[in-house]
Amino acid sequence: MISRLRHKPIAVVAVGYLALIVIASLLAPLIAPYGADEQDLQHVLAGPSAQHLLGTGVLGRDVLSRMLYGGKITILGSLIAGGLFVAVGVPLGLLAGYLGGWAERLVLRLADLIYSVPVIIILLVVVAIFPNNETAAMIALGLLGAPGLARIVRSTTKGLREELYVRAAQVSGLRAITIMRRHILPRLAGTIIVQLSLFSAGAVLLETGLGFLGVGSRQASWGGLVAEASQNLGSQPWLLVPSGFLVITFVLALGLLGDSVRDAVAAQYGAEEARTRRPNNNTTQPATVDSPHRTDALLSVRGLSVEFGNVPAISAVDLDLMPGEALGILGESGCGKTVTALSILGLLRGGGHIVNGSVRFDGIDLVGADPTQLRAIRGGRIGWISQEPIIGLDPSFTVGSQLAEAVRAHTACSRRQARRRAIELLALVALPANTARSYPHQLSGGMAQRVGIASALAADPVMLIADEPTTALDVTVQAEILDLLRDLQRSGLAIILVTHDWGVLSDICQRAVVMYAGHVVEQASVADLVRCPRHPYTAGLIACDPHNATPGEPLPTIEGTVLESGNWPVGCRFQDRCGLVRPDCRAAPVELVELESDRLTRCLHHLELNDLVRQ
Amino acid sequence: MSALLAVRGLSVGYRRPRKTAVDTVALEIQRGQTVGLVGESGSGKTSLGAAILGLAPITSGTVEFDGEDITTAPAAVRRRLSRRMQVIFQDPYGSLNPTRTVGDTIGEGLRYGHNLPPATVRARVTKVLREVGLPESAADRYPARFSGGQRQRIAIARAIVGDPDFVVCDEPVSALDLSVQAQVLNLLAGLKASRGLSYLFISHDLSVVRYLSDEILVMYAGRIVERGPAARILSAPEHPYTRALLAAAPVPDPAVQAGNRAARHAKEQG
Repeated sequence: MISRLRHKPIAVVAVGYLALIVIASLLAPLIAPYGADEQDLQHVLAGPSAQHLLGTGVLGRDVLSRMLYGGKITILGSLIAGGLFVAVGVPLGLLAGYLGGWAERLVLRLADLIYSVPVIIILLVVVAIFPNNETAAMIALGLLGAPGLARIVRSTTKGLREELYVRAAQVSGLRAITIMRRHILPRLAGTIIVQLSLFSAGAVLLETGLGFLGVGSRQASWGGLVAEASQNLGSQPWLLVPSGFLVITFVLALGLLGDSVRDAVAAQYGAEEARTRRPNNNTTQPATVDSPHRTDALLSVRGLSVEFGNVPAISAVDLDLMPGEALGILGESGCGKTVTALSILGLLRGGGHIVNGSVRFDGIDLVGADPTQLRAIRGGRIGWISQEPIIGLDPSFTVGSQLAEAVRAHTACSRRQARRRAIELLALVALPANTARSYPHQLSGGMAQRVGIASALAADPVMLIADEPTTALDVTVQAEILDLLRDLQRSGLAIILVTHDWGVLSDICQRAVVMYAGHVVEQASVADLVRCPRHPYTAGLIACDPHNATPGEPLPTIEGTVLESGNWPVGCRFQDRCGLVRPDCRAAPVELVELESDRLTRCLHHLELNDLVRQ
Repeated sequence: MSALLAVRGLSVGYRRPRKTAVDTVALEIQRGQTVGLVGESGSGKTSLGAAILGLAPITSGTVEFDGEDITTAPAAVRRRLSRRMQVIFQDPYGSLNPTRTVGDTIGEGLRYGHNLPPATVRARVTKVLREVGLPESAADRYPARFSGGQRQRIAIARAIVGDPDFVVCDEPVSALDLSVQAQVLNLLAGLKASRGLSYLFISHDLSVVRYLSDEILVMYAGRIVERGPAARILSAPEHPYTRALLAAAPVPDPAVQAGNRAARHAKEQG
């Protein structure tokens, strides 16, 4: 986290400024030109001069020196308050959040009680009882603030407690106290630091405020200086400028530091991976053979390449979808199948953009189509079904009104007609009409996916793109959704199905492309892919499906893992995991070759595959 | 010889929201045996595994481990048993603390739960890392550096570092890609053979469960509706729910799948 903070200029400046002030305050006896209470009665309430750089206050005391000396008192005060705030608040919150039950109730009630007490009145009382005692006021402030921190720590702890690694630690035999120290406290550190910086800033402000009210310390603290300035505002307005500036900038620096820490903590997990991914500029793209679009296809993709930042995600993808056909895109995670589906509809997010290629749909190239045209096609002529349809539904509107809205977005019709159409759509996906009055949270996973399909059908599309539509569902519900998709396809809808599951592919699709490391490695009918694959990756992927496994015998595996996006070698991208690899595989990019009509492979040695499969 | 794990009449209930997740379930696992537990979401299979590990509230029934009743075992007993009973969770991302090195995570049970000296722990961590097919240097790196499959290997290393007899595998391969899933299943099968481990293997995927299990239990709505030898459950299921599960799972072959689908539809109509 500290290394991450170093890269934030604001954090560096804030830390530097805070450090400068703290050091200067500590060195006050050495560097201050005058003593804290040294008087110069010839220069009373004077402005800045060579003798007194920041002017003087009543009795001619040097403002700069008093600020330096006063720093120690004010900073020490806020340290005491902040220290107590953390020392009391964190353990209380941890215990309440981790143990739950009576400990939690006790802490929460205590917090409620203290919240209901007006802090400023308590502080005024403390100041009245211990006049001129900065420390007492700051102790009171710290104690009064602690329950607030305890609440924040408690709610974060409750969330962390459910983390799987905390449960794993419990099963590993760690004591509660060890789990809190090792697994929960480190994750809370960011939150605590942010709260502490804000609270310390508050303590400095409060100390100043008490000074302004004239009840604070009469010593040379920053609050005392503000008090002195406020009393002489009429005769010497300048007096408020140095102390006021100091307090404001000090508090600002604390706040900025807190913000930076919070950002750094938020970026801590996940960012590490992103940083290690670098574009591999050595990758030479295979020269794209510009094969023409198939004119009889409903959708024809040629040479589609997408990059995220500078990192290629897919390269030179070709595919054709015939009217009324179901085409599968099969592959493992990270191979680019979802990116392909998203880029067809121009739905890429997170910095993804199409760098090359064309997507011909019904005579229009969707790449470079103007946004209005694209919007009319997306959701209109082409429907989209996602893996988790519930995310696409607004929780505060009924299913019926959202379906009607989808209808009205693409067809000119009255509200009543749209509502009637919504009921028809629900019937189409075999949901009862009263589902229209349900809210999204009332739907089961299967019902939500049916609503997702109904919504994709709202504008009577000619094709659907379904991205892992059944991956989040139970197997019996999956079967129902697959039946529904088959019925839709039989009624004339063309479907592109993105999946990692051979069973789902076999159930729905006639033809499929297999993707690996961002490009198509094989294309054939599903029956051919399953029975006699012509690429070692396809062969490995079908062999390691546990459906085909014999208990007691080791499963065939593909050694290694899918390559990181863009980290692709010059030659065949499957070379390091392939049993058939030869020097020529590594030498140059391998092209897709046509074996027979509508049967493509990107393998130089596919004829040897039969021998490999037989082994 | 008595069973390694014996669960009798076990019920698990939650208070908020009030719900009985597991309803009077009995099961036995012998030494070296793998029992597969199959069910869909909400069937109570994860709660059953958690209850055996002392992570879910038991409302009635008993759990015996190696002859010792651990139904209401206090924390100290659980700590003692923690080297013998372990767990592998589904999510290889959530089950490793991102702020701890891999070696620290694998060894923490031995180091802090059982107070073994650091050198001993280090040696054992190195040994299990090799056993799960990871390089020794993995111990000093953070989980963010590893892929899903590698993380699951780390979780397996953590489970076996204390030489357990019994491991609850809660959907250990569901989050993994097909090719990686096969690697991890082979690893689990290998460890079972080399260490004589017993597994409670929880999964929604019958084909995965069949590959590893000697016996299969089918769970539905908190109850076990069918149990039997793995081969028999797959070839001759008796309970309608087991049949429905088998019929619904799509087969990776279009011709076979078309036949299965037709048969399923015929049965639904008839």
